[in-house]
Amino acid sequence: MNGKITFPELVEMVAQVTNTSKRMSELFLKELFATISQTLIAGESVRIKNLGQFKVESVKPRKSVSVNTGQEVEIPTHNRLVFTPAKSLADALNEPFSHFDTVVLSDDITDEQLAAINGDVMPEVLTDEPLEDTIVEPTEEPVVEPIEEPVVEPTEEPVEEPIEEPVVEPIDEPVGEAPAMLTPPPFIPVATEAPQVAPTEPKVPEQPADTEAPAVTPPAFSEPVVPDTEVEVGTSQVPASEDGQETPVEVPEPVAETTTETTPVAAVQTEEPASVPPALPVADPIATPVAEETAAPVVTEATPDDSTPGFAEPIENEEHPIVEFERAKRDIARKSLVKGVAYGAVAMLVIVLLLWGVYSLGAYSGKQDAKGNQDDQPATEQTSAQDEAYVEIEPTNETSEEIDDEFAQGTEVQAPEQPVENKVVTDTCTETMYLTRIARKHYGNRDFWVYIYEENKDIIPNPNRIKPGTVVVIPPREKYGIDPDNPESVLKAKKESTRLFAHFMYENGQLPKPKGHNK
Amino acid sequence: MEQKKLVGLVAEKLGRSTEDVSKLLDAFTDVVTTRCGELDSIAIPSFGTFEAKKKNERIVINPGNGKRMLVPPKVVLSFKISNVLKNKLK
Repeated sequence: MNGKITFPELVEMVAQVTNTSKRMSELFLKELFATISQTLIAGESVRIKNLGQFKVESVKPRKSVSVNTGQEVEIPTHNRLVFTPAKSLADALNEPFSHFDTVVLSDDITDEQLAAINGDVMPEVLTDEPLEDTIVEPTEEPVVEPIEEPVVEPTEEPVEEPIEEPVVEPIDEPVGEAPAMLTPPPFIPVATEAPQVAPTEPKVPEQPADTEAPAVTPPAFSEPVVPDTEVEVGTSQVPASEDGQETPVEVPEPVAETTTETTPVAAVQTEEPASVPPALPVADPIATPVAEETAAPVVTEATPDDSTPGFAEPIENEEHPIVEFERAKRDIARKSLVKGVAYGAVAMLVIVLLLWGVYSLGAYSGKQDAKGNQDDQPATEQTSAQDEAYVEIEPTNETSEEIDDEFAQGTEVQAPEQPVENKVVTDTCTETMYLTRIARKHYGNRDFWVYIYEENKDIIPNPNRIKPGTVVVIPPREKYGIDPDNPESVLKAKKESTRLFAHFMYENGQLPKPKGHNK
Repeated sequence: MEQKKLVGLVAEKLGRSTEDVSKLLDAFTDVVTTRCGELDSIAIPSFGTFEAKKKNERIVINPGNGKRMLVPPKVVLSFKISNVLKNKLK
């Protein structure tokens, strides 16, 4: 860079390129320029292919003023050498900037746009339409999260085999849903108690289950990837949520639990989540919660050994030991119950999970359709909320992944065997999550948003106007050679983004098509 | 003078075949292209200096319609003649 290459160095380079001796190349270069000089002195121009043209021009005499004396001086006629680089050479040198075009600046152009043209700021312009996503989520959460806790195991124990199917299924769904809801909180400051509680809740039940009843849970967890990752999400987010207020949280939960439990169960039974009628839940909820609560305390007293490990974690996380205690009690009860039912349940769990996988697939596609058709139906809020929750099951996988990275300090990865890497990673655009932010989240550098766009070209007509709620596929790093630590890779992405940005600016009519910049 | 004639002249003086000489000449242009692409300068005694310069982006105003235009940055190759040759040309 900006180094000066002297003649001996030049000789050596030419010798290397041609595989000849240095002496030969030196002789040649000297002779070459001597010949050119002679030709030029003779008044002839010289053109060298791929280098350019040397031309002698005569300059007419003109008058000037001597700087020192201030007297008028006439500059006599003389010759001047003009070098015009060949087109190929000029283009080769200008290659780093060749993708730029001259752009007309409109008078009302904003600084942001200017910056974007310079490649400093990526287009983070979003649609103005306020989407329901953000609004709906807070309300959904209380409904969804609690499901796991009470539902799963308590019901199992009394009536073992027959009930298991419906009972177990909820496990997965809530697990998938809850984290999905959780993702927004970091970005939406408005989200209050509901989302914050969520992380703590799922954690309590699942972790102990893993640690204390290994016989039961491991097989169940190893198969479905979703639950495991979600647990981590929940736990990892705990520290963040602790900052917020957790006092008021407790009250809404029990209420939510009752309502929520029923809905998933009902959904499972009907196998048509889209059409889940809000009326159904009313009957079931009452029964299940009661059963849990009665069962839980009894068991806890019977098995005091289990309680110690179970208590340790929740207490750390929460500031209200009483509530925690209650929860822990329940957990312990569940755990012990699990142990009892474990051996019988494991087999059933596997089957149920398989069923659920099929079912959720169907539900997912069905929901998307339903979502598209649904306009505004305030009356069916619950169902729509559920729909959204289902739809967002996929995003959770990847969010959990990256959250893991971010909050690695949380709990260690519980299930290293999870094949998450093989899964298609997706994310959801919201009003506060644009491609750039998603890119920063997944790749560590926002400039890589172009590759996310590339991957989702067919669902994103214009990266500047993404509908909140759009689920985008996050391509694996290898596919586009994404490496935030490699400046070359970043530069490449920047170039691409500049090109894309210009392209869409023209398309929107914000900027007129550039005229060829000739010089 | 075109390249062919130049190569012929040099080859004659060196006593080498024109193929060899044109290979060497191509090698020279290659070196200029790659090294100037890295914004290096190549000095040739008693002839001149090839130097690539980066021109910054700038805003120009079209005098015809008064519109402001943003001209992108670019790299151009400049050649500065040496004083020896300049004086010979006078």
